[in-house]
Amino acid sequence: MSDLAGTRPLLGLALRRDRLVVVLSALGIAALLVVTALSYQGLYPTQADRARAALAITDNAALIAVAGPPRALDSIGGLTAWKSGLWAAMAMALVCALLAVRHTRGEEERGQTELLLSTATGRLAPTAAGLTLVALLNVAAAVLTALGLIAVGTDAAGAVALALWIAGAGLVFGALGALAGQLVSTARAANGLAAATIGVAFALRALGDTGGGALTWLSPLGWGEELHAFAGERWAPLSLYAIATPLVLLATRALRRRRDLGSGIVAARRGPARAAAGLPRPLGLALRLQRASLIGWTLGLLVAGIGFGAVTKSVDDLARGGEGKLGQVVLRGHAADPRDAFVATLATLLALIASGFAVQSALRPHGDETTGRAEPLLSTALGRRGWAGSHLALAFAGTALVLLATGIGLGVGDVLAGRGLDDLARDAGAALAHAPAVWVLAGLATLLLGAAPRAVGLAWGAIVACYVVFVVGPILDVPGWVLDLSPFQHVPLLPAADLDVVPLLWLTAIALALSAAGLAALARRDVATG
Amino acid sequence: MAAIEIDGLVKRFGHATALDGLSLAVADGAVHGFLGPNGAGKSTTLRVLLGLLTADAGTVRLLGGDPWRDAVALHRRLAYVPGDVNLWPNLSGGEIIDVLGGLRGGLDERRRAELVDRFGLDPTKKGRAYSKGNRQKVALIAALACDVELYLFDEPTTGLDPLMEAAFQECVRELRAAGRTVLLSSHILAEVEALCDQVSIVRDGRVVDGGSLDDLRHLRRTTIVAETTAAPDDLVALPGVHDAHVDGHRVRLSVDAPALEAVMRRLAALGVRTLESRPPTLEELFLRHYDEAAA
Repeated sequence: MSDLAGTRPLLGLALRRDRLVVVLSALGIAALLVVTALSYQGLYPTQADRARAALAITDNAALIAVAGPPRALDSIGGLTAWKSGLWAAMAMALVCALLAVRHTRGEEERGQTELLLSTATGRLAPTAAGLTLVALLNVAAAVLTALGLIAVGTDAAGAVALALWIAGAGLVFGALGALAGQLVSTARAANGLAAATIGVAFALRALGDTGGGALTWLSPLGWGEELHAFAGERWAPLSLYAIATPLVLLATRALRRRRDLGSGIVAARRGPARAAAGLPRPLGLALRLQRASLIGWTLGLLVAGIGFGAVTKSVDDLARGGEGKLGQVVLRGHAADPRDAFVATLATLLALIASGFAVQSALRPHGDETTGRAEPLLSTALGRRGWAGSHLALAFAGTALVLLATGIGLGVGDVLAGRGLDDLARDAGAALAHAPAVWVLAGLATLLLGAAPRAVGLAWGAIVACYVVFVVGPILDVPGWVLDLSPFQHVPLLPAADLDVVPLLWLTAIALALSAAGLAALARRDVATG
Repeated sequence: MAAIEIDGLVKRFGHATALDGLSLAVADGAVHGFLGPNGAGKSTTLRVLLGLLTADAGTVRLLGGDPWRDAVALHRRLAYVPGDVNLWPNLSGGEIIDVLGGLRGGLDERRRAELVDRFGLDPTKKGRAYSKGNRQKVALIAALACDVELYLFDEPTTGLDPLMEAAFQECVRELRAAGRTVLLSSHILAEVEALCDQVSIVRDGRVVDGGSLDDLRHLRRTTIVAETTAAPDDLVALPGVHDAHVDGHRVRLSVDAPALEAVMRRLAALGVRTLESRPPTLEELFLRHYDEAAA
C-alpha cells in the first residue's frame, strides 16, 4: 500500500483547494431537482392534471430520446425524475470527470505532482486523493438530493433511487476522467476525451430508449433509468455502477503504475525545427494554438450530431402530434412535425455544448497571462488587440465551423435514417442559427477578460445558467425577462419555426459590442505576468 | 541620448508598493547592470518599460517614446527575455523562436542558425518537453537573433549551466562591440561585473546607488580569512579594516579596496600559513551601502 502513502493529507489539500466547487456543485445538482419538483407541484397540483399531461407524451419518441422513458408521470417524483434526472446525471458526470482530470493530469502537467511525489507520498496518492474528493462530492450531492426531494414531499424510495442514479453516474465518469488522464498527456485532451465519452453514453441510451432498449444497458447514464425511480424501484442495476467503477479504477491504477511521470500512453512527438510561413503572425499563431482544439470540437460535435440525428428516425416513425403542454416544456417550440421540434431541441443542446469551445477560445489570452506566456509575446510588436482579437476572431469563426459540423452531423444522421438530402440543409441551418447566441457568450468572456480578469470563470457560469434555462426554464416560476437573459431564448427554432433574422442581428450586435468593450478594457489594464 | 529614462516611477499593487520613486538612466550603447535582490522591483521596472504595466506616477521614456502609448512601435526596436520563461506546450522550440522573432519584425537567419548551434538547442522538441535551462535558451535565441537597438534581459542566465552562461556573456560582449544598448537585470554580482560598464543598484523599489563599476568598487569590501605565524592582533587597528575577529592565530576581517594593499603587506610580514579571500556578496554590498548612508 506504499503507493497510497500520503493520500489523507493530499485529500485535505484537495478539499482546501476545491471546497467551493464541491459545495456549489452538490447544492446545484440538488437544487435543480428540488426546483423541478416544486415547479411541477405548481403546474400540475392534482394527480388528475398529471395523468392528463402524461397521456400526451407517453408515446413521443422525441421526448424519450432527450429525457428518457417516461415512468410514473402521474406523480411529482416521477415527473421530476423524467424531466431532470438524466440532465442532472449528465451534469454530475461532467463535473466529476473534469474534477478528476484536474486533480490527476492537470496537476501533473503543472508540475505540482512532481513536487508532491518528491515527498513521502505514494505514486498513486494524488490520483487516489482526487478520486476521493470526487466520491465525497457524489455522496454530498446524493444526500442533499434525496433529503431535498423527500422534504418537498416525494416518495422516499424514489428520491433515494434518483439520488443514487446521479451519484452512480458521477462516480463512473469521475473514474473515467482519471483513466483519460492516464491515456493522454495533457489535461485539455483528457477533458475532451471524457466529455466525448459522456456524449457517447447519452447517445447510446437515446438509441436504446427509443429502440429495443439493449443499448441503454451499455450506457452508464442509462443504468440509472433502469432503477425506475418513483415507479416501483428496481435496485439490481445499481450493481452495474458498483462493478464498473472499481474496474475503471483498476485500469487507471495499472496504467499509472506502468508509465513515467508526465508521460501519456501516447508518446510525445517531435515538432518542426522551423515555423511555417504564416505562423509568426497574430492570426497564424492563434490558429496554430487552437488548431487541435478546433479539430477536436468539430469532430466531436459532428459525431454527436450524427448520433442524435439517427435517433430522429424513431421519432418520425411514431404518430404525429400528441404534444401537450408537457411536451413543450421538454421540446422547444411548437411544431406540426415533432421531428422538427426534436431537431430544434437537439440543435440548442449541442450549441450549448459548442459554447464551451467559444468561451475556451476567447479566454486563451487569459491562459497566456496566467502561465506567463503573455509577457514574451507582448514584448514583441504584437499589440494587445491583435493578440486577444486574433483568438476572438477564431472563437467567432470556429463557433460557426463547429455549429456547421453539428448541423451536418444531424443531417447525415437524418439521411442515414432514410430522410431526404434537403433535410440535411435544414438541419445545418438549424444549428448555424445558434451561432449569434454562442457569440454573445464569447463576447461576454472577452468583456470579463478585459474588465474583470479575476472573474473570467463567470463566462463558464453563464453557460451553466443558459443550460439551466434550457432544461427547466419553461416550468420555472420566474419573470420572462429573467429567462430572456439567455441568448438561446432568442434563437429562431429552425427548422420548426420560420427564419427570423432580426433577433439574430441583435444577438450579433450585442456579441460584437461586448467584444469591443472587452478589447478596449484589455488595452487599458495591467497585463498579468504569471 | 539616453535609451531609457525613468524618473520618479511609482507602481503599486493594491497596498503593496513595488516601485517607490525609482529613477534610472541607461545611456545609448551602454551595457547597464540592474542589480538587486529578489523582490527589489527589477522585473516590475522592466514590465513598465514594456508597457505591460501602467505607471502610477513618474515619467518613463524608452528609445525616445512612451512605453505605454507607443508599445507596439517600440517593441519592433527591442528584444526581451523574461526571467521565468514559459513556452507553449504544443509548439516546438524552433517554431517558438520563429514566432517571437517574426512578431518582433523578423530575425537574422544566419545568426539564428549560429545561436542554435552555439547554445546546443534541439529545436524539434515540444515546449512542454524542455527543461528550465532549455526554455531559457529558446527565449535567449529568439531575442539575440533579432538585430534591434535595445536588449532587455531579466535574470537571463537562471537555469543555464556555466558553459551556456559563458556563451551568453560572449553574446552580450558582441552586442556591446556592435554598439547596442543592453539592460541586464541580475542578482548575481559576478555576472554584472563581467559584462556591465554602468550599474544601478535597486532596493525596495528605488535605485539606491549607481554609476560606473569603478565608482561601485569603492563600496566593495573583500573578506579575508587567514592563519598567520605571528599573532595578528595589530591588523585590527589598520585603517580600512572592519568587522575583525581574532581567535589565536586566526583572523577574519573585511577590508576596503584601497586598504587592501596595506593589509596584505602586514599579513605577509606576519607570515601567512593559510589565506582565503572572497568578494563581497550582494547582500554585504547593500549592508555596506546602508552603513555609509547611516553614517
